[in-house]
Amino acid sequence: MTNKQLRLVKLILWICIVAVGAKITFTYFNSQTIESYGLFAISIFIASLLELHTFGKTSYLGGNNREQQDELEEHIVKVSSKISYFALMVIVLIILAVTEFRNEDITNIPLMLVFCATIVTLPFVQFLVSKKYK
Amino acid sequence: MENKIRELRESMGWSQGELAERCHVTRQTINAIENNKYDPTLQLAFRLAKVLKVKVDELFHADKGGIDK
Repeated sequence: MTNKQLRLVKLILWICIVAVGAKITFTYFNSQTIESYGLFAISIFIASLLELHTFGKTSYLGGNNREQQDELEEHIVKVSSKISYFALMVIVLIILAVTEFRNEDITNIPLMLVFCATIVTLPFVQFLVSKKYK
Repeated sequence: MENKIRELRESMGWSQGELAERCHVTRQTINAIENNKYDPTLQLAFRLAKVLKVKVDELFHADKGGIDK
């Protein structure tokens, strides 16, 4: 991707983020509902924009998968994956605490299951991966 | 891990970009290795040594803290 193409894609993504963000806000103030598809779309656009800024390419919007990843890039992905996992765990815990702090018993079972899954997933994957090296 | 990459690269008159191109990595990777912010994989260490025409153990040496780790 040339610099000119990169700038154009970034501009298009910014326009999409502003447009979808405005639509979500408009819908919220008009009908007090949050558009879940809009939220999904905006998260894809933000993730793509961040990837473009970091690596100059994006995996979300049909990036070139054949292009070999640079070594430092791989290292950055590995380190940030670990941090992201724990950040996600904390975010889920905060959401669970905020939504359930008034209730005696937990009513949002799916969210509780997600939180439990965040606790178990890493050790489980580590167990499976360690099998490969035994 | 400390290294002599900058020294050897400059003695050959190459820029970071030129060395990166010869080793099939980005300039950022070379910059991070030269500044001891990132230790390359064995594969890249051997490639660097081959391109800079030295042995791997001449190119890299453990820093004082690293040898105890």
